[in-house]
Amino acid sequence: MPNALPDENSASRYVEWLDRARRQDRHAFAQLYEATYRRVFGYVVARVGEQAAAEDLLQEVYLAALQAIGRFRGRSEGEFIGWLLKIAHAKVMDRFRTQYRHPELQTSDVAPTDLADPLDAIDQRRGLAEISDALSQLTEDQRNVVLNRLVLGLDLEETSKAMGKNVGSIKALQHRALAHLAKILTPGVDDHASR
Amino acid sequence: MPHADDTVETYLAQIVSGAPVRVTEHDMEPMVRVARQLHQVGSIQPSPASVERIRVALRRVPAREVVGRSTAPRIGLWRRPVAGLAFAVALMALGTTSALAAPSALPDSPLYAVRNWREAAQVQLAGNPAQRAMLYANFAGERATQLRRLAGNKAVDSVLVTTLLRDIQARVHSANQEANNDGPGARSAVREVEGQIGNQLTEIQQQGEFSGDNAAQLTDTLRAVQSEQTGQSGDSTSSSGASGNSDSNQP
Repeated sequence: MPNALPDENSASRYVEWLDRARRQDRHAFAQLYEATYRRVFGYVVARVGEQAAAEDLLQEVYLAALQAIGRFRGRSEGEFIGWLLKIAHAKVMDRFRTQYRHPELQTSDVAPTDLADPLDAIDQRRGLAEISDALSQLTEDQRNVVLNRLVLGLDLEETSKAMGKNVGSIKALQHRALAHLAKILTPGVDDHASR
Repeated sequence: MPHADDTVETYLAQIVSGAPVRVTEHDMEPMVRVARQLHQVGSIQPSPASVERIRVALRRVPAREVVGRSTAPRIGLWRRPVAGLAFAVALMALGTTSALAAPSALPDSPLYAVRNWREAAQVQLAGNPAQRAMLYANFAGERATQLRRLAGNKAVDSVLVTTLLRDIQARVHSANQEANNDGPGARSAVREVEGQIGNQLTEIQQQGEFSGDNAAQLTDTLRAVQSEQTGQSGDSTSSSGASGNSDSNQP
């Protein structure tokens, strides 16, 4: 969803990678993967709240993108990330539907491998799951605004363009979203923004 | 509350940029804490092993194998044979129903297309021009019989009549073409059927059941059928059946 690019070189690189990837150039697609997987993972892990599940979904997202890249018409990093996030959203929703229908298939939590202290791992795991659950209780716009701002790291203008809303609306939306999240995640806190 | 919205934005910008955040409004502390947590989620990275696993997969998996890879198969594995069997049964039932119903389907039925397709397939499978000629002639004859039955119905659809007449004419013409490609025997057999068709159309005309465009179309079709007959009866292979009056063959 980010629309701005750091420099012209980066923009022209994306155009070249995307053109080559559309012609099934695997090396070009690999470059696109390297350039984008961290942000896509951030989105996915925030939505599913499990590291291992997010890693599986990340693979599904990129394999699906590889399959469909020939039909992708965008020419910029922002458009490509936006497209990947749409695929990721669909994969996440598939997973939620499966869990709803088959709760017995829900994967067990796996501790993140890069945390040395098991207690940190447990805290992170619990925190992730709580945040993911809380995000699910927001409206779609509220969820997207906090994901864009805080997980994907977009600034106010970029978020405004990505969501097709004016800056004032984005400010109000993120305020309500955070107030709602605070109310969910912090017992005893009133919904500040609704007052 | 524009002021509060701006204050939240200030805190968010500080969090995203990594700058230290000092919250002065006590009631905003929970929101800033949640925002920090969310920002930390964005910094969680996939394990190096999974990053490498995806790299390998992207290099090696053929594009066509990517289709359908999902943690959420739409149909469970054990259900697939059952679903397949159910689909096959439904298909067979549909095919059987269509095949049985199609031969008598009228142009106002969706099965009329199946009927036309079925007839075209039969013609394609026929081994020689004589067989094809007789198939076309019989298809035209079946329509003529249906038209005669419909003629007594006051509410018969004009478009239906038009389609039947057009198809009779087309099939009679095709029958003659195929018969001419074969020889005298085929021409004689086709002529006999054309005579029966001509009789049925004449009966309808005499009953005066059709009016307006349908009446004119009926006359045109009858002329065309008789013309096809005349064209054949004029050659050296003419036989006693040339008049085509089936009643005349009755004792």
